[in-house]
Amino acid sequence: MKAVLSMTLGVMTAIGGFVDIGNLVTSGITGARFGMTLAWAVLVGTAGMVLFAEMAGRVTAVTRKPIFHVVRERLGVRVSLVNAAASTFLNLITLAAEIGGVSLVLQMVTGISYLIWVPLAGLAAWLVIWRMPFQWMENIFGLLGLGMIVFVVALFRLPTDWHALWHQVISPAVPAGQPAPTWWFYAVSLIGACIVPYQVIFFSSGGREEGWTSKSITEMRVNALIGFPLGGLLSLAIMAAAVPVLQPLNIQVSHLDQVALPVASAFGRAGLAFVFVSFFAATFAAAAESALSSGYSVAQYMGWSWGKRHPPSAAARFHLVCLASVIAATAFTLTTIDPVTVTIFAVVLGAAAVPLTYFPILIVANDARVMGQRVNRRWVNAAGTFFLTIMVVVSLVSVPLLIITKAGQ
Amino acid sequence: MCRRLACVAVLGSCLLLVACAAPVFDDGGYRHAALQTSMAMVSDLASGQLAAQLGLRGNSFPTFTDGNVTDAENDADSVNSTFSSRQPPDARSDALRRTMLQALSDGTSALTDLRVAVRMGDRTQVRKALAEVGKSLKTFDTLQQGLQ
Repeated sequence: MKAVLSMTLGVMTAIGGFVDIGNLVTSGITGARFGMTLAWAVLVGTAGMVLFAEMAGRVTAVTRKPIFHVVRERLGVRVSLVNAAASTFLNLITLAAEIGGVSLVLQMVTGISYLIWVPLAGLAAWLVIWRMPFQWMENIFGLLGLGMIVFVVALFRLPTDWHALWHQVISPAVPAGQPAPTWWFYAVSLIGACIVPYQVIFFSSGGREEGWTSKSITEMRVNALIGFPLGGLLSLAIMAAAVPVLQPLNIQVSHLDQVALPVASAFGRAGLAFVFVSFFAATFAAAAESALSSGYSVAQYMGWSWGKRHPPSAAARFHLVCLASVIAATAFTLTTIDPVTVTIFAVVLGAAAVPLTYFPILIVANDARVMGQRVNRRWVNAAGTFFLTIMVVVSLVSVPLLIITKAGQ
Repeated sequence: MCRRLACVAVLGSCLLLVACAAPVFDDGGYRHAALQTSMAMVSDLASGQLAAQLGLRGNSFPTFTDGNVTDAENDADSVNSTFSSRQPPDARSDALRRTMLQALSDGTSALTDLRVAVRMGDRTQVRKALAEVGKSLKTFDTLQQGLQ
């Protein structure tokens, strides 16, 4: 019974933890502009996330070492430096976007400019990293993030044309009057929002924080195989809720509060309250996770003591990197660059750099000397290689699309 | 090392260019820019309108309504100034520019009135401002049909 409860909690936190500022923004923008014609991109991104999170989790459970540690041992210091540097850079941009997201939610609730909230959001994220036990952090924010289910329920309250939605999902095409490059740009953004590198780093390092062993593989797989796809479903619900409310009015989403308008239309203030709490939980958890992931990747690469399972004095350099990341990201957000724009850049650059993070995971998970009997099966290798090929194409086109479409205009 | 730095500099410059409004060289390009501007303005007007209507019905919190309407007003202002900065390439485009600028100015003013009314919590004024926003939406609808 205890194991079932633990698994249920794990799945629920994985659902709530999957959605972050990237998913909120890109799903809202694409739903309002392209309907459900880009649902396939969420499905592709989620499938990739599940596949590689499972591999990273399995490597961690079998070797009892975090993923960056194993990658450094297997691929050498120089190759894994590229991996660590790219991940740390992306974590920083993502962290800035998440801190901006937390501040925007607080602006929505209070009406006070988000810039006032930015330093407080950064401070709160650092305090949570410093003081709150790992499982509390994961469970509290993961469960509160589940409030986004209100988007699923809203679909039944709104004048949703289910037939039209389904038709758009199964026969995706660039909608009439919309430029094809922009449609493809947002496809890349949606994939990037689902597979942000920090989530894999956090998932595998979190496994070490929770003391995963080979016996934990079933629990880890349930989290990855059920929790993440249900999180992807929330992204699709946010996208779908925009279709009956925002699309007929030709509203192009450019602010986070516009994403909440469909729920306000369906449930009024009660629905909005759910949105505020779940958006806050999702962005705040992601801020803490991306800051921790910066600490994880640097400390694991350098071979330092790391993790929240140690008191801060025993992992001082790890905590210093987390703190430096929070300060740098807070300072970046305070430059007044629009957090939604930062988010778009973060997910697109994330998509561009994903092969750097995911390729070493595939190599290590396929190494029988490291993994023993838990080495990748053939179909996992085939699926991983197929997905990596897609990601290489995505990484090659992402920056040109960013420039051609002027970041999706 | 120098080559890498040059690549980074080129990429950085490209990313910075993403934020710039490209110049237009003929009437077709100017009409396309006017159409894009019109679509952006419709989005801002409709967003402000929806938020204010939700507020009037009691389906939204005052700060949330205010935030949405203020964002719409700021975006409309930005759309207005971006279009104003474009140089029309010929006399025909200049006529279009005058029509567009009048419509953009009316739309932005309507959103400003809406924001003022929402912040004051004056329901009668909100309704009046919403009527102006509705008129602006119709104007842009007509303009878009002519531009397509």
